[in-house]
Amino acid sequence: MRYVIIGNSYAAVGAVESIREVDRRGDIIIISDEPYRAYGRPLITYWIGGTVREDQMDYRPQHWYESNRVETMLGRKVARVEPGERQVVLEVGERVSYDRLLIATGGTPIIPPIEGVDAEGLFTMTRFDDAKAFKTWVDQDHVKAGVSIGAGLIGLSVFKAMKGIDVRLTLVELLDRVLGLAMDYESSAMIEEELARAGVEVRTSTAAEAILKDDEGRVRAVRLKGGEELACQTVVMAVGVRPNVDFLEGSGVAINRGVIVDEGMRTSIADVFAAGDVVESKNVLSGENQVIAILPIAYEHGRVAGWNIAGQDRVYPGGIPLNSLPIFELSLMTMGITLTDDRPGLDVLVHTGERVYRKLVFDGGRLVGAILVGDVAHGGVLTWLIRSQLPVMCDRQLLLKGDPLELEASRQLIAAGENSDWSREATPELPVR
Amino acid sequence: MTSVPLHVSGMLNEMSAQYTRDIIVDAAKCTACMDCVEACKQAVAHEHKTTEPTARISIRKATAEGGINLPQLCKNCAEAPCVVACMTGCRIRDVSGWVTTDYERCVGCWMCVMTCPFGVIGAVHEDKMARKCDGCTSHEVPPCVAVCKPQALRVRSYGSFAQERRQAYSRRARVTALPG
Repeated sequence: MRYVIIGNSYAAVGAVESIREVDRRGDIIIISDEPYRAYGRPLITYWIGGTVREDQMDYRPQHWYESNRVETMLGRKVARVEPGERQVVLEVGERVSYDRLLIATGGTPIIPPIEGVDAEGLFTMTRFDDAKAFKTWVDQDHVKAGVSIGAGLIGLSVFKAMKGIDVRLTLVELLDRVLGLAMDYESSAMIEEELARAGVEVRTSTAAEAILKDDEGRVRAVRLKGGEELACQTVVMAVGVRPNVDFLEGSGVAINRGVIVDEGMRTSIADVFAAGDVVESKNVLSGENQVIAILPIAYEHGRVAGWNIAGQDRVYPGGIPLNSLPIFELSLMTMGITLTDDRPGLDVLVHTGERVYRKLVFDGGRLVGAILVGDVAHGGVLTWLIRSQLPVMCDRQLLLKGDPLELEASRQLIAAGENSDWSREATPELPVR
Repeated sequence: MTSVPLHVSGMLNEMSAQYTRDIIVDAAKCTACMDCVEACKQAVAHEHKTTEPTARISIRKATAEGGINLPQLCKNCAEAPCVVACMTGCRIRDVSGWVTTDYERCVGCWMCVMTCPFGVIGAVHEDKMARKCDGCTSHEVPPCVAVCKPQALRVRSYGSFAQERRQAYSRRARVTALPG
């Protein structure tokens, strides 16, 4: 069996680890247009800031590819897929044949069609090469100020990078607050306060209208809606990502926004699977398929796809949106449904304290979402309550206040109570050896 | 490319699975003497760069209203959510069978804190490390187990784990069913 994987990040690694649990003999070929072994993708901004060295970027140990017997074709871009021939065609014209194919190409940054996006000094920030180009650029003396267009997860992580290299940063956001797709007004305000303390300027409810260039074609300023100009020498375009599916055109693989897959990560074409940020998969809260471009889901997709690609029949149960981004000492987490304004009928519990904000969203007896700022204790318990959609049986105040010990005790007492009948009668006491 | 004979690594994996251990928590026997907590603090102290070491096992003590002493530590999940969510790859199941952490590479993104269903991963902000029990796999017996006089913590291999765990649960059910 010859497995070909396009992509070399979390989903691909997950798939390889699954395939090798099932099939130790088949050939695995990884094709990636990046010339690196799988690396911790979010670490690129840490690398810019100098907190992580290049040799610490590897996602898996040095010997991982060899010990899993994975052949790599790095630095080669796939031009198209020909499922009829069972071949992948590379841009250099080379053809790679496969028995089973996994598409794990992730996302590609969106560049809005505004004037001047071809300016020198404008970067996206999703790949190690982007980070390297950015660092080379900002290390030049004349780069004193930068603008990030978009104040989502990538925009905010760019701020962390800037922190390490002494460039003044302004965040420009279309919505009326930072991280507006996940954070409510209260929590966004806390983040903006933290950013202000670090000297980051935030401009919300405005859009970049044009990137202005100097005579040599380099970034000079960003013009906002209304005409105001922000002088800067570098711009990071971080308005979002979309599934990287362009090379699938003409292949017959069904695509909506992302690649459409069934719950076993199979695409519409036989023996072609897809996983990671490139696919639309089930959101357990809405029951609908959508692109949830986050790391844990990508890896889980890869695991399920890997098992199935190697002949098993497993099902991906679906995921929920999750975010975690510490800004200095202020930790942030969001899970599931966090914005309740246009969703009547949900119960909201809020706990606030000194630089602490915890909000839980309940739908009847079930937890459907949470925002944690400042105090992220037992966030994982909340995540799994949301994801499993099991009824919340313990005291809701325990969940809200965040004492993991009390919570676990309460949970186990409930479990023990349920089990007490069979355990007393059915399990004989055996001598301990 | 050198090809590593996979049947060899597969065999090794199966062998190590046979001999690897797990820690059983037998809560009904716990007296909350906190010896394990102290032992843990000492064992992990070298991993804390600037902060005071905190124990990676904690005990929820019985209260006057009832309940039991409940030691909490990493449960070494099979498809561990913290490994799934780890963006650096510093948390990974090593050959001992335990999910362990390379704190040199942890950057403190708290993704694992956000996904641990048992809430046993703690965020150490100053050191940027998400600390959890790593099983002390370099010790023959984990320090917390070694000091546990009432044998509420025991080390067992896979062979007897399931059976002993059932017993531990039944003992606890009996204790918690008592009034008070």
